[in-house]
Amino acid sequence: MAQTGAMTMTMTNYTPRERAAAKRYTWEFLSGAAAFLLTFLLLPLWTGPLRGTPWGVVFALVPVLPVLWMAIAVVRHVRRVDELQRSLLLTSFAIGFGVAMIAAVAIALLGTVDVLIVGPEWYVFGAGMLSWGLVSIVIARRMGL
Amino acid sequence: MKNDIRRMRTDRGWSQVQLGEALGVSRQTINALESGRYDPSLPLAFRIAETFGAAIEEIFQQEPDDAPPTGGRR
Repeated sequence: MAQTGAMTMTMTNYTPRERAAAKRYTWEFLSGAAAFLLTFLLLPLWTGPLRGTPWGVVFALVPVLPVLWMAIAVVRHVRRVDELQRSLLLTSFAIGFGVAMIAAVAIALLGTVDVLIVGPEWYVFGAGMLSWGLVSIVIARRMGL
Repeated sequence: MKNDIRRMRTDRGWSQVQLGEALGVSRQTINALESGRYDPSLPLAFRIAETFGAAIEEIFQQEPDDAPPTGGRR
């Protein structure tokens, strides 16, 4: 227990503000992820007959909305955290973006020699997300966080 | 940069969490400041000075091998 005068605090590793920010971000991000999974997995079951029609295109893009919400959640989190955490987040975003771009270019170059990747967009997405996550962990550990 | 944040914090009997809450930053940032892994922005440096009731120069000292202002490694 840490005591200062009349004030006694339970020792935790996070300030109340940090905990609140983390809770809010987790809720916002995971709700978006859940909505994405639901729409991505369930909508095709109901909209199958509309494939190839303009409405089929509209419904195919509906899962983008929860992904947009997840991106907004990330931006809101970046604005809520302190300067060091913001710097680390933005660094990991930059590297994740770079890796995604390299993946996209690599896939495009492979296409020029007739090496066609099935579902290339998912490799770009996966490379970006995976590198973002890994870099976040590495730089946080480097900072002793 | 070198700083005396840890000494000044412990002299007052504050935890890193308490100082972080007072400054509006995370405990991890306090830890990074105290261990010299991170130098604060000017507004944060002023808030630290105000919280401790000391001048910035009393808390932070330049070192010859400090990273250049534009960034880069030590």
